[in-house]
Amino acid sequence: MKKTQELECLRKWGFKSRAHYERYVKEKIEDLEFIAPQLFKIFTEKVTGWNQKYLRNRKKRFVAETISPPGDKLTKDPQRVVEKILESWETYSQWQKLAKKEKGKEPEKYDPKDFLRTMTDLIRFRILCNYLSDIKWFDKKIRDFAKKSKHIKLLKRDDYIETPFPQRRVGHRALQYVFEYLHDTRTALFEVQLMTQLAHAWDKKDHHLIYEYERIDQGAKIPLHLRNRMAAMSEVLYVADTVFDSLRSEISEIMGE
Amino acid sequence: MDNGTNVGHLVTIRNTSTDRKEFVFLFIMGDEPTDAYKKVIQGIRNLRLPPKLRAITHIQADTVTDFSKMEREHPEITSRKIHRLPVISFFDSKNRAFKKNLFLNGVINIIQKNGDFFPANRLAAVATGSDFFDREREINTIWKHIQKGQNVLLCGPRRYGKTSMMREIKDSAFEQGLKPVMIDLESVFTPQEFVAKIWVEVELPARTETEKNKKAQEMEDSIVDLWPEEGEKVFKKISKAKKNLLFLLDECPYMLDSFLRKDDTDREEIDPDDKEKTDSFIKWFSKQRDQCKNRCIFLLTGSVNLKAYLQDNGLDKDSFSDCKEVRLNFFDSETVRTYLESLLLGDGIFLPDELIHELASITTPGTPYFIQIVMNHVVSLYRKNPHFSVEDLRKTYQEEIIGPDGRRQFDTFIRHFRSYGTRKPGASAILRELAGAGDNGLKKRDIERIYRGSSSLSGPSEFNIILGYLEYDFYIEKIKGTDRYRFASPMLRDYWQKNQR
Repeated sequence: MKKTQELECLRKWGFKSRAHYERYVKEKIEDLEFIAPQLFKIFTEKVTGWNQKYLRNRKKRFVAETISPPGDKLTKDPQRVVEKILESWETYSQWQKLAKKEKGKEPEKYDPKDFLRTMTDLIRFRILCNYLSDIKWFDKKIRDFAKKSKHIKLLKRDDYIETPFPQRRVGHRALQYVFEYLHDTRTALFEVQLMTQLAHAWDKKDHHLIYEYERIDQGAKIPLHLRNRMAAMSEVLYVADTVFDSLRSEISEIMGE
Repeated sequence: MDNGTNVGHLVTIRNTSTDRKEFVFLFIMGDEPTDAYKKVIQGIRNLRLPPKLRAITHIQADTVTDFSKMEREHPEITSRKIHRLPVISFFDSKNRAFKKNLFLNGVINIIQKNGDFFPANRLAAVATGSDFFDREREINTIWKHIQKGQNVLLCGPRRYGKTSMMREIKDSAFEQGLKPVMIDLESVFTPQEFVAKIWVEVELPARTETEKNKKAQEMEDSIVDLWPEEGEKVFKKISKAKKNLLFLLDECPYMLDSFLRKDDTDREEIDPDDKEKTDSFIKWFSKQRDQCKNRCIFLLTGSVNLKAYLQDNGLDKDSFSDCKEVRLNFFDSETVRTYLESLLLGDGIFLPDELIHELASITTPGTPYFIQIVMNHVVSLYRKNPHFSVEDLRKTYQEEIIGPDGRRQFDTFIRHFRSYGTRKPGASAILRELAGAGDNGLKKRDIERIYRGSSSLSGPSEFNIILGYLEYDFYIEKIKGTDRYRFASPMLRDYWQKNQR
């Protein structure tokens, strides 16, 4: 978004400048810094328990773990939230200009003041599994847990592992959950991604090689053939995951486990 | 370690002038209200520091999702002692507020005292550095007097932390442009020894204790009756020194007791020669203080009311009138609580509010000594049973802390009675009755009646003198706005009631 457009937008929302809006957002999301570790702890304890349950009468191995984003940033920075809101408005205005035939699904436009109720990834973390088949087991556990929990409600579950491209983002292969956390008298939305270690490894590299440039509007400089190779690597790792899964199942069968 | 205690905030406290960093990891337990967590972390981030500290302190609090992997991201914490505590240990659930003083004290310990975040329990030992707790008000008062060039008499019973406070003053003397000279007068038995000790401490400060003792002995043997002249020479020389001196002389009345040979139990009366010798020493010492008053400042401590002591022993009661009196007071309830919690958390012990409340009620109004006694027992109790109850604590208090096994810790208060001489029976009777009277104490006229019934000494001033002694020595206190007196320390009262009847 151009600076003039951005300022126009911000003024319309009642803010003098981006810094002013960032201060407002910072205050709005202040509580999340303290809710996020509590949620992370809840899931860490759950995953630890599920691991133990899974390994009962089985050979010891790594099954799953909760991991936080780099630098333990469980919550989005206010600057990034502002960026995301402004981006959503820009995308929306571009979408509006499209011809009816080209429009497709209406993109989400975040309310600049009420974004806490719609932005689902202000708090986010992952659960990494060793094998693809572990994901299925943990998916069931997560859904059962949300059904029984008084405080955590599952709002949405997207399967980006089975969903074929282009219905999912390039490379991204995860089960994605949006939960609502009811604490004291308030609520908070948060996102959990369940994926394999290999999918996470790809994502980390993509973040470094592609996404970081996109964030600073330099993404267009990366030629398509390199982007394609990056996307292909995700498929390679997905294939590797399926191979590992069948290897595990065949070897287990041979070993009578 | 339980995986669940790995999530929380890592607090980094950095001295920006030395780059020394200390860490406190505050973990969440899962059942604490979000507001409590938020108040603590924001309280830490927004902590208002005294200006001097603010200039060199940087405090940071960062989310940590797996403390067991912290070393990977923060290699500087490797093999460092990190206090690992529940975040709610810094939350006052009654007032729903951040325990500012508890945290601030830790920051002062790290930045100003270069020590550990929490003090250690130094029961029956001199507490220095970060182990020395609070007494800020008294220390500031003392420094104000010193800066005005006034001598100071620091008063308070034994075990109340006078020596620790003196050390604290000594440690910051250089910063104030003074050279400290500290001498324990309890082991000085003659005026010659006094002069010799002053001389070695000023002239040979770098020597070992053995060498100093040898040199002091040589001087002592050589000056004999010439101690006033030789002593004067020493002080004259001191007056010409480049740097002003701060003499820290601990337990002055005990030295006078030795001069008067009051420990000699074979004698009922003080020998007139000893009295004369002591009197001339006191006058001589007063003259020395006066003559070098612009170059030397004297900080004396005493466990007894010096004025009354001098008068009682037929000595000039105004001999130390040049000294401004600073009394060591009890800790108030907030300070007691902060000290209790600091000692507990320093041992990695977090107790629920009802136990802290009970501990505070046992130890308030408090002195470090009584709190340390209790804490010693509480730590043992916790090690045996981390989930001990208020009832367990009460039992430990009754059976161990103030029970027969605790006698050793209270001996000093019983022994102190010796200095009351012929007034001891009357004083004992007063305390015996007050011990049974509880928090409401007794009316002054009832106490007087008790005194008259048990003491052979009569006269209206006699009763007032003993009441003054008991009050000065922190055995009893006058209840504000009444004519009633009670035991000043509930713990000493309980001990007295149980063991001194």
